[in-house]
Amino acid sequence: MHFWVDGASGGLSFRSNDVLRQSAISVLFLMMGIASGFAQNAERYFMVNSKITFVSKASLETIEAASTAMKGVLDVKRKSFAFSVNSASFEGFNSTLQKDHFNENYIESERYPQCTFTGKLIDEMDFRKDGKYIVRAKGMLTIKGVPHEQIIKAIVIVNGSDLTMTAGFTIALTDHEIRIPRIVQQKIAPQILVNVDAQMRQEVAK
Amino acid sequence: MRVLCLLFFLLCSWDSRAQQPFFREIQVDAQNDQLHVTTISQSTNGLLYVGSDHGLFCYDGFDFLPVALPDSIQDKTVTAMASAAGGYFIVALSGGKLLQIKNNRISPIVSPASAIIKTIIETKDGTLWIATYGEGIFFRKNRIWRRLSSLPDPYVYQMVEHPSGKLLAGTDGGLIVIDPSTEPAFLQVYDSRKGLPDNIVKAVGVQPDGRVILGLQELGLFAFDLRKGNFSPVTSFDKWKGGTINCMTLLQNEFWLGTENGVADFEFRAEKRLRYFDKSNGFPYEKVNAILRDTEGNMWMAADDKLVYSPGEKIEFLNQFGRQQFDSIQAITAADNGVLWFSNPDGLFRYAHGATETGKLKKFELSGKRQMHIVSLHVDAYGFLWVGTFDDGLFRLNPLNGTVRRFTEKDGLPNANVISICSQDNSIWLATLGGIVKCTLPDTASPVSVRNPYVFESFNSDSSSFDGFVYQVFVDRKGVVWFGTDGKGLLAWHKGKFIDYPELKQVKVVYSIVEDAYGNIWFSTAGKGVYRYDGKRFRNFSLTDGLSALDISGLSVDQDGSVIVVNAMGIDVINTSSFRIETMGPESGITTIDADLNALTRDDRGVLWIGARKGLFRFQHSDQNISTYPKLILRGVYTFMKQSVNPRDSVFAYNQNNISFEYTGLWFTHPDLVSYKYRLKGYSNTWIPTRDRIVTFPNLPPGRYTLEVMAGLGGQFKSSSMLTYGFIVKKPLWKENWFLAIIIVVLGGSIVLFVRDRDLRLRRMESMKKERVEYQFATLKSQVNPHFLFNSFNTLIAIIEEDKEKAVSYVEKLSDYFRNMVQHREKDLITLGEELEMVATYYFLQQKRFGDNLHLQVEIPENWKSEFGLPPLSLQLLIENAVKHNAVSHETPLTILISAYKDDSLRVVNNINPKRQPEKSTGIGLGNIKSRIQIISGRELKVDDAVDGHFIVELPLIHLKR
Repeated sequence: MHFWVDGASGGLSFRSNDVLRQSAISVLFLMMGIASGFAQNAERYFMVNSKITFVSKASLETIEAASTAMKGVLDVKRKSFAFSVNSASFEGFNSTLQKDHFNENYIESERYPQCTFTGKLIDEMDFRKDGKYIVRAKGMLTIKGVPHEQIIKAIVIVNGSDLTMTAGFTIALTDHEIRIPRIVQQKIAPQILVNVDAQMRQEVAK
Repeated sequence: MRVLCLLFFLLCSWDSRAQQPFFREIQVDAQNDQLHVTTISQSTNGLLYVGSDHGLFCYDGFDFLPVALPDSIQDKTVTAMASAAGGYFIVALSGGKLLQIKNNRISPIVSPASAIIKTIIETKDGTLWIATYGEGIFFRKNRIWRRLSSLPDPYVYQMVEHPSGKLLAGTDGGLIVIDPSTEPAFLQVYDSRKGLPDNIVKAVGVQPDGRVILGLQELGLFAFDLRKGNFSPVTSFDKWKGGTINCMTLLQNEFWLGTENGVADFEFRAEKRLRYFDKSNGFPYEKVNAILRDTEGNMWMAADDKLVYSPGEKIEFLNQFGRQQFDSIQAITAADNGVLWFSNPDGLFRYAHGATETGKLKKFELSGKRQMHIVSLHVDAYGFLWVGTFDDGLFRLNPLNGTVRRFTEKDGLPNANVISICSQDNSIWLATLGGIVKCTLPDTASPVSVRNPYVFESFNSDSSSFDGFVYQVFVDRKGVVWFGTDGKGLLAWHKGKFIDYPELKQVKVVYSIVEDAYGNIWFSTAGKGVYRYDGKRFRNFSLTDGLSALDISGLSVDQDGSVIVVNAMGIDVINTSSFRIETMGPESGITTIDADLNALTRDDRGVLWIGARKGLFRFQHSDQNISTYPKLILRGVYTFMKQSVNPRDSVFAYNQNNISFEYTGLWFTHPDLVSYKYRLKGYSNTWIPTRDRIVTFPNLPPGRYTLEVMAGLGGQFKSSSMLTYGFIVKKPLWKENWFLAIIIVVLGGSIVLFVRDRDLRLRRMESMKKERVEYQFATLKSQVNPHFLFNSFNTLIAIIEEDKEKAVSYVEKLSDYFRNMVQHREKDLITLGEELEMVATYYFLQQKRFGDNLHLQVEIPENWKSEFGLPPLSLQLLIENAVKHNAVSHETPLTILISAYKDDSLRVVNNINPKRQPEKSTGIGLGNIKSRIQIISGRELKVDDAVDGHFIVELPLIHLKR
């Protein structure tokens, strides 16, 4: 399994099956990249504001929760990205008990503190030109430590050095080995709708 | 009444059911319902391999046999498979592992990859290519793996080999075209910057003409021209509605696509149309991740991780265009440019493939009459549509402006029931219920003022023609007009004359007539099957030849020149060169085609349209690359039902003569239809039918055999393949000719040796007997030598005077001497002691005569006297000789020495004192001894008379105890 994809060279790949370590490393790698001065001329966008919302629409109950703790980086030259959100940072839910269930039973926040999405941009876009772009991002979505490949379509608006991103997608719980007890199946949907709004800002390394 | 019957026959149909392609799930492993099917492949020997997350399975239509993968591999998920040269089958497992399988033997291949291998290709030059999901593309040339450099994206979904030799890879970064012939391989990237509408190319397919079809993640299907390098939508007006494409496979005229939502079918020939099958219309699965067309044209899919089978769609049913529904089709004919005319009780319709959705189907009015039975349609060379009806005469329609001209009895039409229409040059031939009618069209040059320029000519007054029902009229390429009649069978009109065929008198009714690509005429009959007429001879095809039914509603010819027979059981396709008949019935998704008589047509794209009670059947047949009979393969050879033998070993020992052969006729379409017959040449020449897939020959006598097996469908073996296996059962060693030959030679040799030895012995005995007789005679003669007696008596006289007692002992000795001589001469052998005794006696007698002048000295060990023997009197004779031949006197004394010589001989030495008057030698004595010694001991008596004036004889002795 490979989570870091170098779109430009096509040559770099890690060989490891350690999913968790790998995704954590790639996120860290991207985020710390600027501080270490590792790819000096790379243009990168960093997260300024973010909101990630999920909705579970089951026949008996609708559950909503949101987090503003998403971090991320977008490498223009490599056309690659990495986003992560603290699993325990979701707020909302219909009750505190529900939130606890979410953290303890379903997403196991203590064991898997981060949900990540790392990968590459598929479609061409010009970051130097202001405008609205629809691009597909393909990558590995890791929830509860279980990676699953996903293609997410996003609307990207470039405005100078600012970038606004909106995306909506669904997550199938079975793809991440999240099992719902039969007794609550009518309360939790097997497909979770996720909406992401993010503002990112370009920081060019010296 | 006949008209009513015909009406019933033409208009009434049987109840039937037509359907979409049907799909059937097949359980791979009954023990494991958690098994996820990942890939499907067919090896070159015809077996189907199904890859799953629980390893590899081999399917022969009956059983899924797990292929035993090495235990060292933990994750046995199969990700890709391919056949390679030399009978190898290459399998990729999760983690980039590669294995090769041949004859059930599995060996690993060194793999450079650790990512998922998506595609394996062995190109014609023997280079092995693997495309991975995450690590790009590798190739192995001269046993060295190399990685393709500068790939824009390492995630490859699928790679295919183009007929040009190039490799096409679909990736996340567009389509990659690789030219392996250059060094390094030349790479061209086609992505969104080059006009590719969607950068994620998930599936790649190649049409037989080399055109490339791409399955894109978001936008569906696009065509790609490899030479021009441009992309175009596959259809001009349909937007992709099938979801993400995962895989595709090529059928003859179409691609079948596996998508996230179901399957889709894109026909690139004929109409270029797209159809979707999903949960809403009969395909109850999603997520089709693998799709394969086998050599019989069947479809195999990995859908929702299950194995799904479909016979594909060889025939398709339509009963609506847009919102317009139609059924009970009575006549149909095709015009140019994809235009189809058909009729039903509601009227006359035109269907145009190329038109927009709303303009596809158009109804034409012929007359004010509410309901007409239009039973024949024909488009002439000028583009006019001719319409024949029941009772309402003939119409001519100008499709361009819709003007209609009607011909009835009033216009000279002899019969208003027009069953079939065909045009020839400037005339139209009509088949009516009142015989054959010819209509001569107006000469375009003739003045318009002529009131009725159409001249109808009835042939029923002509005595040689026919005035009964005529079912079909057909003009062949040579200009001969053929008629199918009720009563006179087949009739032909050639050069102004009617020809009938009295040799075909058993065929009274002919319904349909077509001409094949070679100019042969084919026609169907009432209950007597189909006939082929090559201009000289008629050849019949009936149920025994493979036709599935005799209830034939129409004939046609397909684009490959095969004759299509539509009957009550389905469709039969007769290959016009091999006469092989392929039948398509329920196993192809066809139940009953309740077609009206001759309501079928072939359009200019090669599609056959059949008008039927429930609607239209659309049938596109091509036998390219489709096998129509079971492929027979040898699965194993066993001795005593268990020991597997390498099938290449064809020599069996005499005690390995219980031999079983396991074979399978691969026919995935309908495995149960396959039956076999076999014969063992060298044992019996009769074919033995069987349904078993194993045959055992117990206790085969030694010999040379050839097993021949044939597989057939439904008991038909006409065109099936044959499996032959020659082998030898060896004779046991003792039955081998060479072994027998050796035995005979050895036996014969020993007999010869024995006989020769015996003969030799007898001859020796014979000669010995003769020698002995001679010797006895010689000794007797010598002993009764008067000299000896005279000398003895003289001596005796002298002794008597001197001493009486001495004289008495002398006489005693003399008598002893003669007695011994008489006693011993009969024997072959006496001991040395006995001989010496005789010598001593002789010496005593002679000494009385010669006194001290004769001296005998004996130096022989005491034990020799009993251990050794010699022929009697031989030594005695030597002594006698010495006395006889030498002068013995005071001046010349004679000394004889007898001594042991070497280990087993005597030496007799005496000095030579020649007599002044030599004694006459008889020569018998010494020669006689010599030969006797030779015979008895095999050794030679040596005589030497010139050593220092001594005479020496060596006498060999015979050892008695040995």
